[in-house]
Amino acid sequence: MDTKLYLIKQGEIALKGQNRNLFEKQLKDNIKSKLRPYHNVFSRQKGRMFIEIDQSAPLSHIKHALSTTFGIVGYSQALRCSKNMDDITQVALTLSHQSEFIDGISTFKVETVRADKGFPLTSYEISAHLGAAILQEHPQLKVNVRTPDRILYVEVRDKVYLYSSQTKGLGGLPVSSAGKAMLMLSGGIDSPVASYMMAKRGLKQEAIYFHAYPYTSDEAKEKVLSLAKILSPYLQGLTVHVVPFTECQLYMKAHAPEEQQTLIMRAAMVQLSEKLAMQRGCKALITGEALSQVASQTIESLNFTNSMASLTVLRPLVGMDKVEIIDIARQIGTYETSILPYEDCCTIFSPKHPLVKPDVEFMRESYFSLNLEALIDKALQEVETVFL
Amino acid sequence: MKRSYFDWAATTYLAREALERYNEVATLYWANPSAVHADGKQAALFLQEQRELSAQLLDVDSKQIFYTSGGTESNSIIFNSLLWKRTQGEIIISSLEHASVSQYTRLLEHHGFTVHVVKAKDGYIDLQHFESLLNENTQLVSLMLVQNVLGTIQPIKEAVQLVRSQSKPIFVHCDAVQAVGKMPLQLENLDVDAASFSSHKFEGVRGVGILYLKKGSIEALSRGGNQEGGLRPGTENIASIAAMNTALSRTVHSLESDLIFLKELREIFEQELKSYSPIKVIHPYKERDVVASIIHISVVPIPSEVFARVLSDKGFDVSSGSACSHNSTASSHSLLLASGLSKKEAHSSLRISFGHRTTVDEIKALAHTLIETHQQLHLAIGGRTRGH
Repeated sequence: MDTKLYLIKQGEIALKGQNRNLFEKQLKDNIKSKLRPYHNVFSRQKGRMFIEIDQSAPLSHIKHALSTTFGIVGYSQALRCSKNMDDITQVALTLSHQSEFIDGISTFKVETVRADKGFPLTSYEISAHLGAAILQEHPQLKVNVRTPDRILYVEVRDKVYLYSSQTKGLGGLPVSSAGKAMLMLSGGIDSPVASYMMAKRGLKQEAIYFHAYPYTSDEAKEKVLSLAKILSPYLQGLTVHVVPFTECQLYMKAHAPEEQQTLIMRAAMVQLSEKLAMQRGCKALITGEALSQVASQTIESLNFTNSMASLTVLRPLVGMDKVEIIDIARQIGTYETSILPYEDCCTIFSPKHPLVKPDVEFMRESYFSLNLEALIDKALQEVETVFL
Repeated sequence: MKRSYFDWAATTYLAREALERYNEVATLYWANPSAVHADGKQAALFLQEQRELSAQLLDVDSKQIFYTSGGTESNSIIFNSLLWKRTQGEIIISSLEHASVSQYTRLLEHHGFTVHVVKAKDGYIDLQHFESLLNENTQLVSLMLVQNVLGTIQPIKEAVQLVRSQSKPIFVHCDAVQAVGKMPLQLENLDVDAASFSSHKFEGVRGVGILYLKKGSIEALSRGGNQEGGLRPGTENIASIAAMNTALSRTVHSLESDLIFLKELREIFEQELKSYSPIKVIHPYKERDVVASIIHISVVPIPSEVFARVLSDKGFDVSSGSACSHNSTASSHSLLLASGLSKKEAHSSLRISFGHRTTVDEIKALAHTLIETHQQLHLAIGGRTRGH
C-alpha cells in the first residue's frame, strides 16, 4: 500500500501515568473514525504516534481530521528511512526540495532527537552533517541556529523520521476519555464555546435544545442544528435532543409570578436536562453561563438553578468576559451562525424586571408549587432526536 | 392545505400571460440589440416598440423610460448620481422611505451632503416640517408615493407644489414602486422629475423595473456600454421587459374595475373585524388616503412574528414586517414608531396585502382566522393567576 506518513505529537497525554494507554487508545479511535473510509495503520512510540494513511486520502480530509481532534498538540507529514547516514542524507535532501521546506526561506537549522542512543553519531553530529549537505545543495541558504526561517526535524527511533513543517493541533484530551455530559445548547454565542471547552477536557457530549414553536421560529431551531453541525467534528459527532417546550413555557407564564419567570424557566430546563442526561448516560451538565452576564446568571440565580441538579453543572465560561468568549467562537467557527437574528426566546416570556438576587429556598418552594413534573415528563416523551 | 396569499406588497404572483410573453420573446428576440446584424437590429427594433408601449401605459414620453433591474436599482441610480455633484448640498427624504432610499443617508453624509428626514405623523409625511426643511441649498427631494408597510398614500402632489414654489429648481424623485395597480397614477400630474417602478409588484417577472426620468441626464450607477442611453449599461433584458409590459398593460387597463373590487374586499375585511375590538385596523380605509389593498393591523399583545407563524401554519401568508430585507423586524419597527404607532402596536402589527386574484371567500376566511388566532394566542399567553 502506498501511504502518507504522519507524525502526531500528543502533549498532555504523554504526561499520564498508568492510564496513558487508555487515553492513547481513545485518541487513536477518534482519529481513525475521522480518517474513514481511507485505510490507515497506527504505531506508537514514546510521546509520538505515527499514522500511515492510504495515499489516495485527500490532504484536506487528513488535515480536517487531525485539526479537529482533541489530544493532538501538533502534527507533521514525515518521511522515513533506515538508520543509515547515507539514506538519512538522501531523504533530507529530498525533503529540502519540497515546497513546505524551501519556499520563502533564507535560513534554516537541523534539529535532531536521538531516542535510540545506540546510533553511532550524536544528535549534534547528525545535525551538522545534514546541515552541511543541505547547504551544499542550496548554496543560497544560510544556517541560523537561533532564529531560523525553517527547522528540519530528525528523530532517530526504530527508524529515522524527518519532517520540516509542523501544524498546531487543538491540544487537550481525546473526546470520550472523560465520559459524557449533556450540553444545554441555545442559539447564542456562549453555549457552543462552553461545549468546545469541555470537549477539550475529553468530554463526549449530547445536546439539548428547548424549542417553543410558534413563540420561537423554526429558523431558530435550524440555527441551533447548524451550530451543532459546526461543533460535531470537535465532539466526534453530536446527538441533539429538541425538546418541545411550548406547553411548559405557557404554563409557567400563566402560573408563575412574572418577575420569577426567567428563573423558573431555567430551573425547569435544568431539571428536564438532568432527566434526559441520566437516561442517556451523561455524568454532568454543561451550560454557557458566565457570572453576572444576565439576570439568571448572578451568583444568587446560579445558586438556585444549581440546586435543581444533582449532577455537576459545568460552567467553563463562568469567569470569562464576552470578548474572550467571542474570540473563541470566531476561532471555532460558530460566531457567524450564533449572531444570526433568530431569537431563541420570545419576548413575551421575558419579564421586564426579572429577579436578580433570588432567595434559593423561596424560589425552590415557588418552583415546586407549580408541579411541573407531568409537563416535563410529557415534553421528554416528545423529544425529537437528531444525529449530526 | 389550501394556501391564501396575503403578501402582495412583498411580491405578486407572476401573471400567466406575462410568463407566456417571456417565453415567446426570449425565443424570438434573443439577439443582442447592440449588434449590427439583422437579428440584433430586429431585437433593437422590438425593444424600441416595448419602450413606446411602457411610455404609453404610463402616459409619458418613450425618451423618459429607462429600464433597470427593479425598484432598488432605480432608487440607487438617483442617489448615486448625487456623488458626482461638484457641490454637496442638502437632501430631503422622509422617515417612511424604503431601505433602498433611507440606507443612502450614511453614504451621502460621508460624502459631505446634509440629509434631512421629514417627520411622519400618523403614517403621513408632515408637510409643515417638510416645508421648513426646503431651502436654497436643497438639491434633491425623494418621497415615496404609497408607504409599503402602512398603505398610506403620501401627499406627493402637495409636497411637489411646495418644492416648485422655491426660487431654485429642485430635483424631485418619487419611489412609486407600491403605487402601480393600487391607485390611479399620473406621473405628469404628480410633476416629479423621476420615479421608480418594479415589475414584480404588479405580476411581472423579477429583476426588471423602470426609472422614469422627465428630462436631462444623470450619472449611471454602473459602467459599461451605452445601453439605456448610458444610464444603465448591460445587455438589455428584452424578454423580461416585454413580460413586464404585458403585466403592466393588464394592470393599467383593468385598474378601474380592480380598484372597485379591491375596495369591496377591504370593506368586507374591515366589516368582519369590526365586531372584534382587540384587532385594530391602523389606517381604516379612506379613498385617496390609503390604498385599499394594503391593510395594517395591530394584534396587541401578540408579537407580530408569532402571529404570522401561526397564520402561516393555518394556510395564510401575511407579513410581519417589510419582507424585502430578510428579518428586518428592527427596521420596520423603527418605521412604525416614526409613523406614530405606540411601541406596543409596533411590536404587534401585521401587514395584509392582496390583489385582484384574491377572492371574497379568502378575505372572509382570513378575517375569521385572525379573530380565532388572536383569541387562541391571547388565551395561551394570558389568563395569569397570581397565587404567590
